[in-house]
Amino acid sequence: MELMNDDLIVRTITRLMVPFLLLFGSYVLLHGHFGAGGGFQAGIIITSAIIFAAIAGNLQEVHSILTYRKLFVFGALGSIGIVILGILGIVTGGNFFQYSPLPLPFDTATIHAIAITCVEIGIGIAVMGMMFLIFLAIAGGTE
Amino acid sequence: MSILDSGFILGHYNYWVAIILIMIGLYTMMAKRNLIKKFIGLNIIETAIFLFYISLGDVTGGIAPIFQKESGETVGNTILYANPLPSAMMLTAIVVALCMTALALSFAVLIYRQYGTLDARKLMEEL
Amino acid sequence: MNGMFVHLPILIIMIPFAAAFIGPPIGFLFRGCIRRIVLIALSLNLICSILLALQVLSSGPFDYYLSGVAPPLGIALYADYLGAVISVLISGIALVAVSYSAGIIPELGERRTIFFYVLLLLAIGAMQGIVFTADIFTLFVLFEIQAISLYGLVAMRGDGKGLLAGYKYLLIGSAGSAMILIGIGFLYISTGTLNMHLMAELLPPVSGSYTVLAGLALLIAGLSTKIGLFPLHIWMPEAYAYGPSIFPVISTIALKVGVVAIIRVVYTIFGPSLAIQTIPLESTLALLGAVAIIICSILAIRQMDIRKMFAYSSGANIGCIMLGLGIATVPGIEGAILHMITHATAKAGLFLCADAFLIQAGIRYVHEFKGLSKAMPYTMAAFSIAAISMVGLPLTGGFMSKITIASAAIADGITYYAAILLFWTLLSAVYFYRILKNAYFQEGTLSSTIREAPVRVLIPIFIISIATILLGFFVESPMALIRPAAELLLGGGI
Repeated sequence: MELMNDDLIVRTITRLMVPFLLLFGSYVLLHGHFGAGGGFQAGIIITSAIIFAAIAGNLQEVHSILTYRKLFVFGALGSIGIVILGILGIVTGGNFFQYSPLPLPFDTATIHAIAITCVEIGIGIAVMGMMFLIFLAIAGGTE
Repeated sequence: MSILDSGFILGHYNYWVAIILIMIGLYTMMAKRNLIKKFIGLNIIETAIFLFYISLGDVTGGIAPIFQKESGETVGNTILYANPLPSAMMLTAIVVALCMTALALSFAVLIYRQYGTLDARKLMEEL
Repeated sequence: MNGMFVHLPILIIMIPFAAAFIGPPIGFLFRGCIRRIVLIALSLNLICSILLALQVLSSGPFDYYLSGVAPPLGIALYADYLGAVISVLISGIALVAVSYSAGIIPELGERRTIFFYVLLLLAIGAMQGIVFTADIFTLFVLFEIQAISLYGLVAMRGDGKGLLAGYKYLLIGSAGSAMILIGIGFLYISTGTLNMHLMAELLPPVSGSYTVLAGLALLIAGLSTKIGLFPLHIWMPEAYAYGPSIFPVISTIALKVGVVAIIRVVYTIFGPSLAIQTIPLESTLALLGAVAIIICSILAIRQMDIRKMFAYSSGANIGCIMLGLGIATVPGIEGAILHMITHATAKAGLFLCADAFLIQAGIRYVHEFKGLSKAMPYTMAAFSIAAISMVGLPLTGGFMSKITIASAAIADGITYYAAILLFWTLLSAVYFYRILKNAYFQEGTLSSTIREAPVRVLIPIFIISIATILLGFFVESPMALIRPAAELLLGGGI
């Protein structure tokens, strides 16, 4: 399926929107531990930026760079990060996902913020991989 | 309070909206023959459930449950804020609904490629 | 209670999930390696489940708080006798099913095999979670993970019939999930908590309200789609017939997990006193079960495709489990839990053998079995053992569980349910006898090229058969966990 887009409006708006979407996505990602935000929303926003770029540019090209396989691995690695952070809690003597005994030289609230941000980043990566995979699978045309 | 009391009906309008939407969704699922329309019916039900939950968490005069010192109505020394739990639950449920929609749409694409139709009655004869 | 044992519930849930995430990167790098990862993960899981069962047996049920935050705020897991015994069942059957299937499943191809195993592991992890969770919304989320994995598994072969069966399953299953979600909402309005044990404490004062009753009804209706209780069993025949080879085995344990969720809702949240006295729920469950038994058995007799036949037979067995739960005495619940174990074992054996027949001889209809006992004697013997257990003849596990439920019904004074169980034994004998008669006593027209299944396939089948027979003789060892489970459930839930 050829989705190469020559429309001036789409291309211009994309060029204007994509950087701001990526910035906004990163803000939402890093703000998740004490405000409205979090990994899932951030992942969706960043994915929407990538989808924007894919629609305005050449979908086949995107397809050849980001293959199904790579995206699947991307999603898996994000999820693995979350599981490892969870198990870190057990290893350091707490319960699953209990961060307070992590051996870091900060007070408890800071450790919580760091650990939750790490989890949010994992969620964000996993969501990005999977959402773009879904987009490609439905729009891409090849199986 | 009687069920026919107008205050009862108007006071619970959020539930009535959810009930009406769920009924519309159920009707769509049962009566429509197109597989995608059936799934749209399910999406309507899910949206109705999200609305129902989120209206549960609302507190009259409450603020968004983000920690801040100055704004918001107070009762005694407590700041009124909306119950964040239903919204958090619905975030998860939305993710689930999204996965379900993606799966159903990809099934529908593949089914259309195999059979050339999405008519449920014709397709069920194939099974 | 020492060290690592405390963490066993979360480890049991997380091992399959972790393996599902590690699987694809490694599976893409090294060809055919994914099955080894799955086998290692499920073996570890089985070891953890058995350790947990021993732990629970010796020192009683215990709570586990995620992030170390106690229930009103945090999410809890609850490892009790019921959870321990079903967890061992899940990982055991899953391990046997995976060791039966090949490294690269021929009908799927290499890439889809990887996806197949990933979905399978996600489903197993979600099932273990459902068994242990004490939080009703986590229950819903895990049910969705399990359901999405199962929908994907049904359609995995990518052919038209598999896709249609998957779509049908998806529509019915997600309508059920929507009902579960509304039901949870109603219970949440009434109690203001999501933890099952806190809910059990807060429910009695509001138990008469329509909100609570509607919530209970919606939860039971939604869960019934997941377990295929009679009027909602319609997704099962197609999904079993057109899904890939070991899907029915995984689905069999998924049905049992759904029953565990119903037990949690009825006995843990509502509790026996509320469920029996205020709401006549027990008799309703028993009635639904009895209807399911009769109608599904008749449908199974009409069916000539063996996989569809076994699907209807599963519907009847679910009816039997609900009947046992509906009797609501300690022996009745014991019988129901025991029947979950014996039915899962026997049905796994049946489906593995049926798949071996399909691969080796291309057989899937009853009339094609003529003379098969000479061509494939070992597989046929294992099939017979499983069939005998399904019918419920003595010396097998199926006999023990059926007799427990029947004697519980008689002891409770509802003799007609025992009569229905007896009648059901006759009905199921009818449809299994047809296959066995064709295989053993009829001269075949089978081609001489049909060979016995390879040893790699026979070993898991024999393990299942031996387990089926052992359950008939040494029923006391699972009963050591089941009896306290039933007493705990009837003794107020907590």
